[in-house]
Amino acid sequence: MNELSFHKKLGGSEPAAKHRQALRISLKCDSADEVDQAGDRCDGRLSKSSEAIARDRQRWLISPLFDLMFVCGAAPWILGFVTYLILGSDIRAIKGSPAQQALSIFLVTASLLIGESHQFTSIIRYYDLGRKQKKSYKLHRFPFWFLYAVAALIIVALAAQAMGWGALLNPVISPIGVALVPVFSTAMSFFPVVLMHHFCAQAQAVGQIYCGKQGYKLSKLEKVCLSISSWSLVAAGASTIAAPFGSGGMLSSVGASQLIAAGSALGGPGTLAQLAVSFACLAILGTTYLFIKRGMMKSEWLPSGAVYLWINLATLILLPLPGLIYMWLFVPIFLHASQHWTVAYLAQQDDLKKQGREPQSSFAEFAGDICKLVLPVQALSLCVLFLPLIVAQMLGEFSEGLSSTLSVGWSMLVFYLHYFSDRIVWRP
Amino acid sequence: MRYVQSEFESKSLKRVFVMVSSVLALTFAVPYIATAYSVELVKAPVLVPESTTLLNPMSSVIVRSHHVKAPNVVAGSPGMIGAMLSDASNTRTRLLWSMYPAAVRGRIFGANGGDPTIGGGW
Repeated sequence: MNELSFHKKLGGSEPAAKHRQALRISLKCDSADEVDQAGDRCDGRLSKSSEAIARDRQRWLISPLFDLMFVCGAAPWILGFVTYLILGSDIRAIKGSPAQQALSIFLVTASLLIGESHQFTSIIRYYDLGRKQKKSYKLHRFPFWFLYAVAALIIVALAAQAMGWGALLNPVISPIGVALVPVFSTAMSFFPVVLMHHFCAQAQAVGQIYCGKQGYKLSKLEKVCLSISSWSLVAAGASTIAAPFGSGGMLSSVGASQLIAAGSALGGPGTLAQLAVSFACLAILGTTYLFIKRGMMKSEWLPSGAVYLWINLATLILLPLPGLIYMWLFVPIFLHASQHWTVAYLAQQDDLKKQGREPQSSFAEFAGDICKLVLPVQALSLCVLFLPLIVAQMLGEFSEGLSSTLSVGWSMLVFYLHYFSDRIVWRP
Repeated sequence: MRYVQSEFESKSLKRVFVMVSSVLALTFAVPYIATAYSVELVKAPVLVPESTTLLNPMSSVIVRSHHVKAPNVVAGSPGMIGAMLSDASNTRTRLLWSMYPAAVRGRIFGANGGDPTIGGGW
């Protein structure tokens, strides 16, 4: 009796019997029992792998590899190390080589496509969905009115420059000039602190998403300690790696230079930076102690994604190794911006799910979602950041005045818009 | 974040990542490296009749080098990374500014190498 008729006799369906026969041939089994055993083994493997996939879904935003590379920040270390191997350790000896040119092209492309454009994901979301949120975040919206006023000032300044009305910008005789100077000096002075806060706050929030995904509820004390650590990292970063004018120039417009000078007088140059770094180390040690204590006492360990991300952040900001500059080449793009794009993609999918759309079932749907997310952002990035520069370069006579002031002021404006919209749109 | 990522999307993202990386590599890096190395490879010997050989009478063959210059798609790209690293190394307090995407844009479009403290950068 062959297997098909045997199954029919037992009441099994014909397709199932055919499937079993095919399975027996594919598994090279001699008897039906062997097929059963092999099937059980396969089922065991399948259930195990499906469990692993479900676990991964719970633990990571996209997938373990993607998250480790582009959300937790392994990519900058790998790319930085590769760059170090290619260029060598002696930075002063680096000349324009073909390998360096290839790296530059890669960096420029990634910087423009991923880094520059990520600012517009939150800006577009703010003007699209953010303003319809039930919670109004009135205090958070206040800076936007200030930024609109700054945008108007910049436009007037550009028009004045283009029309040759230079006197309009003169701070001695014109109210526009009087308004422009403190606005820009304040924006430039605060930029290091705001930039570091933007960087650290995003990493803190993404770490908390990992905690939320695994049901690791942070206590009030842990949240406070995390915030203190984050702000101490901001202070340490702003006074060590994000102060282009040196510590004396930072916050000069709000009178902090006197404080810095006083600190320097008491303990020598760089005292404030040393204090900030020391405090950050202490705050991080304290927070780490809290999490380890909880793990030891209650067997509740901090999710691995959050651990990798926060350790990475602290290492990149606090570790004073000169070789870290190779990693920093890629940190703004492949840690911060890629993290931002990941959150934007997840938020888009969350919105689509709320609108009742079925989960993606084809590659075309997936590609469509990516295009809907990426293309408007890239288009806006091109129009706002690059077209004015390209036009200014084409009109040669403007290039000295217009392109420089336009790009600095405009870049600051876009950054601050991104910073404030970020603080609204990713909230529930 | 309530949304749970599906396995399908995870695989698709990997596929897109590989595709985009490949396109970027093919578009930019490979031609540059290939052109750059062709500087060495194109040093193929060019046979010149012995009668015209005046420089080296001991040799019957003169080797000429054909130096092919790689097209400069992005202004300042040959020395860009070196300049960025050098800036950050000289003044560590400017590390983040030097690596910021706006500074990269400034290095391409600006007159002062992307330095916002001088102006003409961003």
